[in-house]
Parts: sequence; structure tokens; C-alpha cells
Amino acid sequence: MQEILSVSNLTKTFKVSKKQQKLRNLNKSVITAANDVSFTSYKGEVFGLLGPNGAGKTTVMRMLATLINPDSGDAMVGGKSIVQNSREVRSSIGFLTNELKLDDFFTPNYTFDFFAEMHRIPKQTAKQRKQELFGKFGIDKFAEVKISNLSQGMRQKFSLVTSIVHNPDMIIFDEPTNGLDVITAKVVTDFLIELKKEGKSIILSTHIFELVEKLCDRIGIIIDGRMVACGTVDEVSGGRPFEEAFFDIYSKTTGEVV
Amino acid sequence: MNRSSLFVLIKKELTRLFGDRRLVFSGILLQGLLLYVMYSVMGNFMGDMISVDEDYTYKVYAVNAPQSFSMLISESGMPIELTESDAATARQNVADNKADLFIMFSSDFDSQVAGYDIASGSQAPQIQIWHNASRIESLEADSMVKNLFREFERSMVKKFDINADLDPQEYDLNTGMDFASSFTMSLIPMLIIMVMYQGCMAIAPESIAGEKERGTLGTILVTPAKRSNIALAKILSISVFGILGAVVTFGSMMLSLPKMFVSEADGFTFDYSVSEYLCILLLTISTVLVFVALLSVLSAYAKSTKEATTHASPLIIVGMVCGMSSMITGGAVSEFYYYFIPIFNSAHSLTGIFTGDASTLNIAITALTNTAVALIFTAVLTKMFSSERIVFDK
Ligand SMILES: Nc1ncnc2c1ncn2[C@@H]1O[C@H](COP(=O)(O)OP(=O)(O)OP(=O)(O)O)[C@@H](O)[C@H]1O
Ligand SMILES: [Mg+2]
Repeated sequence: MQEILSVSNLTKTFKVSKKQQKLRNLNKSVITAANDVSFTSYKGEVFGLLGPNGAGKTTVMRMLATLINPDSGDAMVGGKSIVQNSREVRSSIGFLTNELKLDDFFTPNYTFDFFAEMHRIPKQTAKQRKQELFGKFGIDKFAEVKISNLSQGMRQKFSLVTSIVHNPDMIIFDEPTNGLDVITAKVVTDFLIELKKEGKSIILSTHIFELVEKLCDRIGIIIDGRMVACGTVDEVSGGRPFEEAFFDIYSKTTGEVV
Repeated sequence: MNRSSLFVLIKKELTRLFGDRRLVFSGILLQGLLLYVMYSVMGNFMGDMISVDEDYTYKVYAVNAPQSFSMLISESGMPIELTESDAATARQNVADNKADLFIMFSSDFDSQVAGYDIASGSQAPQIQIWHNASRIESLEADSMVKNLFREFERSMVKKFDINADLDPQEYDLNTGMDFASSFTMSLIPMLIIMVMYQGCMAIAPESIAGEKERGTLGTILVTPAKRSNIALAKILSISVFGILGAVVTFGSMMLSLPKMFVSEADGFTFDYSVSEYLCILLLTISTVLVFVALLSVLSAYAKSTKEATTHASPLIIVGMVCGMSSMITGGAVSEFYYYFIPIFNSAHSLTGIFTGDASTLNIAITALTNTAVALIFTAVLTKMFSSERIVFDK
């Protein structure tokens, strides 16, 4: 098995403003959103990041996508450090998350070409790839419609397309089916399976256990910034149904009974 | 094929900005429109205030008026009625608006002029002219007579001086304030500065803070582009917009200023040289670059367009104060070191050009200082873009 991602001791803290402290009922001015997180993912595998709201999944993914810098620790993506070689890392990954939005003003056609140029993809290759992806997701009919006029589902599909314009080896999906209807969610899930078959490596965060069982080879459970369990789905669940195992781990870690 | 990401980004930014009709209007066209409307309104208003009836005869009092002067007037065919008087009466009449002009010649002027040797270095024969700036007729008479003398002097190979010893303002016998001209003078640079500021305000917060707010900046941050290129593309494309806005401002100034300066008598003439026009253009552009860069930095600090606009609005006061400062200083300041103060320098350089006492050095300092300031802010912005707190604070 070939390592594609090796995360070592990633730690990230955020300062919390006085106002935020009050608002969120916190008594500390610093939040450790990721606390010494380490894990490894292998080529062609789907790695699932799980954890309750505010656990730190998105924070870890943002560090991997080099949007934010870790306070300490590092991660190697295809042998490149997210700290030292952030630009190389960015050109070899795709990142899809809810917070990143496409500019409403442009059409899918323009947007695709723009990202293709940003990734320095030869025109011919880009054209082929656009045809293929637009066809697959039914975007071709809307290629010249402003993104602001696309339906939510179409937008999400197009966001997915823009995150893989450059055919990256590793794709990071932060809750890719969040807020989608069942039809669109299935399109996205099916596409993830297809990517996996193509040999792409996927890092996925989700709250949907079904998706975990269907897709993930390996998972990590993050609670309160810490990686509390990590391994293959079988290793983590220990033969139990995954849901049961998750709640068990959660209760043991937090002391809360679910 | 491997075009630099900077190029690709600038292309996208420009497509974005120019594709948005609202931005094109409020960022470029509105400035010209505002300026044109304001000038036209003010021009009409002042035009009513400052025009002389066509069949008006100017009442000019003179002391020691030589033969040659009476001849000069009758030859010129100007509607001037000359009255010989003593200095005190003449002065009083001009101050009381009973006469338009008071001219005092050195006694025995003609023979003094004839006998004056330029090489001798001794004082040349004198002519002193007093007017009353509260009346357009007086100002009109003043400029008429001065022109006449200039012609005359030229023909006589500079054998006498006009108002050589005193500050021009001391020859103004108006005791009230010369309201119209100082108002106009201070208002023009201020208006230019304000409309250009407003133009930049329409774009920079939208383009930088707006993209942060909407989360569209993030999608660009995950491409391999250098953060500094993203910042540069932003500021360069906003600058293109700003420069176009400045050109429009300049154009509308060219169209509307002649309306405002309906008369030469208020101290302005609207026949500037090509190089003066170029200086005005250069000044507006260098000023707009300061605004673009400054507002870009402010917008990068802000989390939303609204916040950026709030941060930036106190600056309009600074712009106004700079713009109006030439009213307080009574025209453009002459000391060169003042021209190292951005925006203030723009206002005073423009005032200088309008009133005809601009210095090339001061204009050059202004343009260079403003460009340097813009470059410094640009450098700051590129640095800021490498900070995750600035570009991605969620
Ligand atoms: N920029 C930031 N400034 C301050 N606090 C932050 C910032 N980003 C994240 N946090 C905090 O860090 C913690 C982890 O957040 P994160 O978004 O990584 O959680 P998550 O696991 O993705 O949660 P969810 O399932 O709700 O998406 C939270 O307490 C969050 O409020
Ligand atoms: Mg999250």
C-alpha cells in the first residue's frame, strides 16, 4: 500500500474574541480545534473523518488544503509538505467544502475555463475534461447560465466539478452531500464511488454512517480536536454495527451517555 | 499556454468588474456625472452672480494719469470712463462701490518712463491698481486694464512695473470676503477628490471584502496561485477601474469647467496649456491610485463589504479637509515639503494649476509621492494576503 497522505501531530488553535466567548458560553480565550491529530491514508482509499459538530474535522481538512496553517505538526500529501510546499500540495488536491462558494456572477463555462487556466491545464485537455464532466452531471445544458440562476443541486454538482478540474490525485470532501436532496446526494455519492474506482484517494468528512459503511476503507473519529479512534472500519467498530461502535466511543471519550 | 496565474486572475477580475453594470456605473460613470452636474449647477449659479452688462461703462479713477494712458484707452475702444482724482477720494469710491478701479501712476509718469534706464537698476516708474473683488465690474475692469498695460508695457520694452511692490491681495479694496472665487477655488479640488474617492469606494470593498464575505475568495485560495498574485490581481484590476474613473472625472472636468469659469475676472482663465492638462490628468490618476491602494488594504481587513465601507467612511472627511485646505491657506501652498503629504498634495497641486501658480517641482513631488504611497500599500496588501486571518477568517 502506497501512502498518499500522512498526517503527523497537526495542532491548530483559534483565538476567540470576548464576544464569541460570551455567545458560545466559553470560559477560555483559545480553542484547540485540532489537537495533535495524526493519521495515514493510502492511495486509492477513502478515509472518513467523523465526529460531532465542532469536533475539528473541517479544521483538519482546511489545514490539508493549505487554507490555514497548522500551529505545529505537518502533513505530507503525495510526499509534499502542506507547510513547506503548499502550492504543490494545492495543485495535487481537490477541495470541496460548503464555505467555499463559486462566484454567482459567472457561468459554469467561464468558471471551468478559469480554474483550468489557474491549474495551467492545456486548452485541449481542459476542453475534453469539461465535455466529459459537464456531460456526466448534466451541466452542459446550463453551461451558459449564470451560477446565480442554477438550482442548489446543480450548483453543488458544479462545485464538485470545479474541485476536480485538474484531475487531482487526492480529493478532500467536507460533507459533500450536506443539504442535498436524495437524488442529488446519490449522484454525488455515486461519483465518489467512481472516483475511488479510478484509483483516486479521498478524504471525506460526513455525519452519515451509511456513507461510511458504503464508502470508507479507513476512518478516524475526532472528538474535541483529538483523534480518538483510527483504523479500518472493521478495526474501529470491532465487529459491531458501526453506529453502535461510534456511540460507544463517544460515550467513553466524553463521559456523556447518548 | 502556461500563462501566469497573475494574468489569468487579472483577466477574471476585469471580466467580473466590467461585466457588472452596477459597478461600472457607480465606479466609473457616476463620478463624471456627479462632477458634471455639480459644476453645471454651480456654473449657472455663479454665472448669474458674475456677469457684467454688455453696455456697462467702467468707472476708472486715476491719479497722475499721463497723456499716454488716456490715449491708450481711447485707442483700445474699451468702455472706460476715466476720472482724474486725488488718491483718497479714488480709494474711497472704489471701496464704496462708486467706482470700479483706481489707478495710481508715479508722478510725471511719461517723462520718467522715457528717461528710465533699465540697466541702471534704480526703481522703475510705478503703476498701482486697486480693485474691489466684491463686484464683478471691478474685477472685470482690473483685468481689462492690466491687459491693456501689459500690451503697452510690451511695446515700451518693460519700462514700468504694475503692482510690483505688494501682495496682489493688498490691492483688493474689498473689505468683505472674496467669496465667489475662494469658494470655487477650494471646491474644485475637493469635488474631484471626493468623486474619485466615491468611485473607489464603489469597487474596492465589493471586490475584496465582498469576495471574502461571499466565500468566493476561498475557492481561489485553494488553487495553486500565489497569494501575492491574488492580491496583485485584485489591486491592479481595481486600479484599472480607478484610472478609468479618473479619466472620466478628468473628461467631465474638461467639459464642465468652462461653464463654471464664465468670466476671466474671478482670477481664473480656462485656457490652459496641453502640459497643464496633462498635469491635471497625472494628478487625478496618481490620486486615485492612493485611494485604490488604501481602500484595498482597508477592505482586506474588513470581514464584509459593509464593515469595509464603515471603516472607510471617516476617510472621506480627511479627503474633504485636504480638499478644502486650499481655502484656508488662501490658494496652493508653495513650500515643497507640503507636497509629500498624499491627497493634501493633490488638492494643492490642482489648486495651483487652476490659479496659475503651480510649480513643476510640486506637481512632480505630488505624483511621485502618491505613486510611492500606492506602491507601499500594494506591498502591504500582498503581505496581508499571505495571512490566513485576513483572507480566510471563518
Ligand atoms: N476561524 C476560526 N476562529 C475561531 N474558532 C474557529 C475557527 N474555525 C473553527 N473554529 C472552532 O474550532 C472548532 C472546530 O471547528 P470545525 O469547524 O473544525 O468543526 P467540525 O468538526 O467541522 O464541525 P461540523 O461538524 O459542525 O462541521 C469549533 O469549536 C469551531 O468553532
Ligand atoms: Mg465542518
